[in-house]
Amino acid sequence: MAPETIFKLPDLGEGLHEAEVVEWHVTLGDEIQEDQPLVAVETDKAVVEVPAPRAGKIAERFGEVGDIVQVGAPLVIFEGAVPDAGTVVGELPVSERRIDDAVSEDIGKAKAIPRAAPAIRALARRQGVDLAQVTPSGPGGAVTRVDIERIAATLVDAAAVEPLRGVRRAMVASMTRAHQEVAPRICDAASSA
Amino acid sequence: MLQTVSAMVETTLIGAVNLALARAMEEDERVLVMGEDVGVNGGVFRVTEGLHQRFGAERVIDTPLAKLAIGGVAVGMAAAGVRPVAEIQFMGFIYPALDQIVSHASRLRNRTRGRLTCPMVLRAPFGGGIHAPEHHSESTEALFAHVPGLRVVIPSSPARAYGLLMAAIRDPDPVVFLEPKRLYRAFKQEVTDDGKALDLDRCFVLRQGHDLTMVTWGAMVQETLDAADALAADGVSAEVIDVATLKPIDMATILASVEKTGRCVIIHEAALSGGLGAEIAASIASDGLLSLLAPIERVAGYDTVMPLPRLEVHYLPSVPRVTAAARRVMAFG
Repeated sequence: MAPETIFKLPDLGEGLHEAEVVEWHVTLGDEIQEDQPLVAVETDKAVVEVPAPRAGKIAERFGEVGDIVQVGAPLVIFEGAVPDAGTVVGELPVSERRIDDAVSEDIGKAKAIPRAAPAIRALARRQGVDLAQVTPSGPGGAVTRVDIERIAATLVDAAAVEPLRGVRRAMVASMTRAHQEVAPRICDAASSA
Repeated sequence: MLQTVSAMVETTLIGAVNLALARAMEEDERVLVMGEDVGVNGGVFRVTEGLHQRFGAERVIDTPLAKLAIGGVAVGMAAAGVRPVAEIQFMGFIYPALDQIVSHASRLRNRTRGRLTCPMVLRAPFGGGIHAPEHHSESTEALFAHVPGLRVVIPSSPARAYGLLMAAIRDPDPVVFLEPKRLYRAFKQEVTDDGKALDLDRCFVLRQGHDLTMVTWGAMVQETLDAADALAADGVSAEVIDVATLKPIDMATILASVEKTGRCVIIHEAALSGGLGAEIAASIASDGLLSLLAPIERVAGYDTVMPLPRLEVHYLPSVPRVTAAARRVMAFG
């Protein structure tokens, strides 16, 4: 947050509204540090040292020794601080950041998400159906429950198929050959009998 | 024919609004600026600085502190063929003017069967994030967007502020032009001061992505872009859309994006219930449902009064809140 340009006489408490300048500790052009004594003011109650709220160079000083300063009235102005942002309330964030927000006129083609209502997507997931493999029959090319159930049924049939290995593969191979070679002859024999 | 001088200027959102006002006043003598302290003082945020000196007190009018009067006078001027650009100092004080805006500005064309229109712009800074007291931080754009006959426009960068304000001023119907004050001086951008308007009623796609669509407007555009950066680091490609015109909303662009990504997070700093995020989500539910891979999420302000400075950071949607919503949406696979 950018520091304030103008430092005003802060509320000194106890319902006091003004104070008399007793002694300035800084003068125009002084480079001062934060918390360095700025000015001594005397209220109805006591002499109070007012510290600097920030570091900076004093550009302007208000009130001479003996003058009465109201709470909220300017005491000093720091040099080279933020430009006038005008607002009476709040603090606008200020930065030197540059942006370049190029606008896209063409957002590209859809990657063709299969069209399906959320419940249908959930059904497809439960049934292990890949929506991209389904030919949709619903309105606007939407996949329907019936479409999912049709594919799911095919998958159940296909689920019986499994790759054969080792002894089982050899057994199936010989049984198939036997079926191909023997069975037709049995049939021939049966028909010619 | 006025000689058009075009100049490239690097400026803030405030500077861009100022440039657009000056350009519009230069081009069309019917355009005038009015509001509290907009003249000699240059406006509460210095948006109208220099206009009074340049165009005089008859075209840059300091009004009394009376929002209803600002609204009413603007409606009367607009009906009479003037093109007033009225400023309300903070959106939180716009409500006394609502009667004129809702009951008259929005209806003039319909009431007179097109014989009269209401070519006025009502500008107001809106939104939080500047540590302001009560009434200085709200986002009630949905109130205005609900009213048939009103256009609601919200810029999110200097270039869009310039182009959209030019369009709003030239439009023959009333425009509520809301400026995100947190962005007023937050950054600068090259703006071409050539009097060219941007199209109203369209979204602006600020970043292309294919996993997720993020829809937002106003100051939240910055949070959303930052969130998109954070998501990109995790391999999530987010498309970022600045709605810009909140009424009517360019749903075609939003739907095209959602059909591509299948996922949508809507981010606005206005309170959640009845906010414009609900309107956008409802339209996607009607017209984009079959493309949705995940529920639509909304990240918004809470249904409370906008808090005072110490808590406002918790009220405004933050990058972590936006990325958390995005991750919930992405978790649907």
